Amino acid sequence: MKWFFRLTSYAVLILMFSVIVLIILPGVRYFFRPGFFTDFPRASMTEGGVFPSIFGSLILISLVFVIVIPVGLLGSIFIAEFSSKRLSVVLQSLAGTMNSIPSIVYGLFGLSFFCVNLGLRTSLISASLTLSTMAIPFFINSAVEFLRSVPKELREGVIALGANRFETTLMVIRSSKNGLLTTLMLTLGRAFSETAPILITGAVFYATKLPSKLTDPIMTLPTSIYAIIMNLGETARWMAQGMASMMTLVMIVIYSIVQILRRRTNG
Amino acid sequence: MRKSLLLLILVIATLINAETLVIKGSNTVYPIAQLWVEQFQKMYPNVTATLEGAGSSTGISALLNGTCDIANSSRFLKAGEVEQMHKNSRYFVPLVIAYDGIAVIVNPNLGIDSISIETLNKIYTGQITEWSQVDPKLPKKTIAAYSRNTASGTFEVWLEKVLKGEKLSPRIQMLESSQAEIESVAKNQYAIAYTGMGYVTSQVKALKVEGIDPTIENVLSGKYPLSRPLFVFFDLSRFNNMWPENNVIADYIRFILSPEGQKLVEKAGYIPAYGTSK
Amino acid sequence: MKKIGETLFKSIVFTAAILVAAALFGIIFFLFSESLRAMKEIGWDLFSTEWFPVWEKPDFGIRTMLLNSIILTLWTSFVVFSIGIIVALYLHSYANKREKELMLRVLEYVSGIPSVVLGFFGIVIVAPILLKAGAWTGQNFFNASFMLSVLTLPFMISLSYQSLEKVPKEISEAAVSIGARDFAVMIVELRYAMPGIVNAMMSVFNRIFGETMIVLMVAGGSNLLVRSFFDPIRPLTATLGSELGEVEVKSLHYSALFFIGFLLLAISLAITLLTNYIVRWRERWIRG
Repeated sequence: MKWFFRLTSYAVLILMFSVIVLIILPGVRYFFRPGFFTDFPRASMTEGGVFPSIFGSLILISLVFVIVIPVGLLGSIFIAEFSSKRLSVVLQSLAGTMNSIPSIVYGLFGLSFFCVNLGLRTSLISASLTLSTMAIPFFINSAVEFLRSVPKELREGVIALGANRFETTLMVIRSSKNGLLTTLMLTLGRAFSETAPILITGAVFYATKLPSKLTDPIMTLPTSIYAIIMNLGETARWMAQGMASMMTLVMIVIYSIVQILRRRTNG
Repeated sequence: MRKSLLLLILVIATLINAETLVIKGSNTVYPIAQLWVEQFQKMYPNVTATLEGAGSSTGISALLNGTCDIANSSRFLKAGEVEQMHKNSRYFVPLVIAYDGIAVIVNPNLGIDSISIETLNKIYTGQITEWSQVDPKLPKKTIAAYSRNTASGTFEVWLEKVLKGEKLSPRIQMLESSQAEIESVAKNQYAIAYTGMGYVTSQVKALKVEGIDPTIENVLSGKYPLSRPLFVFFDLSRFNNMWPENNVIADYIRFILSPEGQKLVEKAGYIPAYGTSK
Repeated sequence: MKKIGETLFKSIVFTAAILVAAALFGIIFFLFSESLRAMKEIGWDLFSTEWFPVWEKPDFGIRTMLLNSIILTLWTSFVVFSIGIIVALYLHSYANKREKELMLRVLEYVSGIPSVVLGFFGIVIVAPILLKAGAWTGQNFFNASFMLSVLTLPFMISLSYQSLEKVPKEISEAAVSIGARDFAVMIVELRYAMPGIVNAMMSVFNRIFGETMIVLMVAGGSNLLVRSFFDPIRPLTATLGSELGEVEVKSLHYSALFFIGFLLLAISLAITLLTNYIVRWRERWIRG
């Protein structure tokens, strides 16, 4: 019995490990090509670098960060601290439900609401708003748990010392900051890797310059990987491979940080 | 910290005024457009150009939606699109920028050199499913037939000239790009596909259609049955129905029709519509 | 002064939370209203088998794509549930500390791989292998199923493992003390951890059904009803991903695509609600 379980588990382990290795290793050597990180792609992506995609992804994530922090954090605070039991159950299950909606549906919503209805067209702002709509429920779902985990005694202690609601909330945030940071990193990591929603609301295959206004379309790492693989040949594949390695490494770094934060909270 | 710095850069960049030229459309024309945009950028450094090649229909839709400046297309407008254009008081100027033949490609190891349009029709409507039905000397293997997806102008031309309006068999696999078709055929011994001539490389074999080779001469003389012009459309109604004189679209069009622009058409493997010598 | 600040703060956080609720209803509303045209003009023909959106006499039948989506999801879920539970049981009952840490860490990293990168892997590495194995095309049902399993297995394993770990020691010790052997003890623990495991199963099912990038890249592109593992298929999400770029806004084709989106939304909401209901019912059953 035991050997069967062990065999399956090790088979899975080896498989998963090989997937990671086969994705990262072939691409790493392209990092050392001169200009990989700083040049624009040239000659149909057969030469040059991936700078505009990196820039696009970074700008996108920054905008999502700016939108998600206030709405997500404040929303979580409301659910954890201020709302009645019934309302918080309703809101939490709403957030949970939104979490399980397929990402392409968010893309459709973004397309019909932000791009067409609000007239924002294929642009950086449409893509960020769409991604934020996806990211906020994800953030709230996780952040509420962390805020709730602050023990009651701590809260009561601070109130006994004369703090008002606002100051109590600050204290709760400070004590769950590791958990909140974890949630933030996971949310940004999620936004970084998503492709479907931004494919139809904000991204283009090739732009000659960096986006200079919010209404400009952008190149991003995931959409460029998709575009190269589906549209260009073997000669451009190296660029997609490099980007795939880069993205996976970034996610590994994010998860490592999350693991460190987790270990710190658990003493 | 780094993120707020980037935000600052974005704000500063917003203050810099730059003109944007949005080009969308044909995947077939894409390699030409890429060369054009790169050269155009060097000639007009103030201009930002964005390029996409998801298919002719995407370009024409974008022109109708007002979300692009230039639409590349490997087909002319459909009747429905012309109606839409009139209904919205728009006028899409069609410019022929190159000529192209649709090459029918198979794997170099497959023992067939020529094919008829009727056979192609039967394969793509699903009446023929194995190579031995095409030619008894060929192996009895399933034909892996590929097609461009419905956004493609190349597909629309195929629909008109080969399928003659009939429905595509569900066995046919839709691919997103011409390059994907080249790769699939190069890797699969029993594959067949069709792409613009400019995409053909030594990895695949281009068949004679009705006994005629897809060469430049045969396309120009009209002998090759699957020839077609490649177009660039732009919306004249944006310029009050007068030919644009002093803006980025005018500059771009002047460039692509000039001998330097047409030389790039040749470089991409297509047939220039106008002269390439000064 | 303090009172005003407090009330202001309260209203700000309230607004933020309400925005979320508004978003959900907004999504449902927009998807529904954009698909109305398709529902009116195409009606029940939406469920016919052929999808030919750009022909002179277009067909907008989603039945084949829907069936393909369902078959792909059911099969992949089955594989992921079985392997997932086995590995979770191994980690819970047999593995030592180092094995646990190693597995969980590797699994966590794999769960972070973006889906577009997994699609890349499917095209670049898996497809050529399948071609050599005799498939008539490298992008097919098997490829999609395999990459989807890689996508969801880490989640299944880690959630099941956590549910098993939450089983109180008394239960397992009680089982052992009445003479049950390894296998029987596992069954007892599984029964107790059912709510968590069922939750994981439904989430996996939902995730696979709604996944777009992987199927767009590796499932192939034909609209055949799948008959063999090496057949290429076109699930609903792939059609959306592929055709949304080209469609003319507000055309009938556009509306039909939104209908597909609305259907996906409805199905995933239904699965989520069902999961919540089952989990709560099961938990009540266990508490007694």
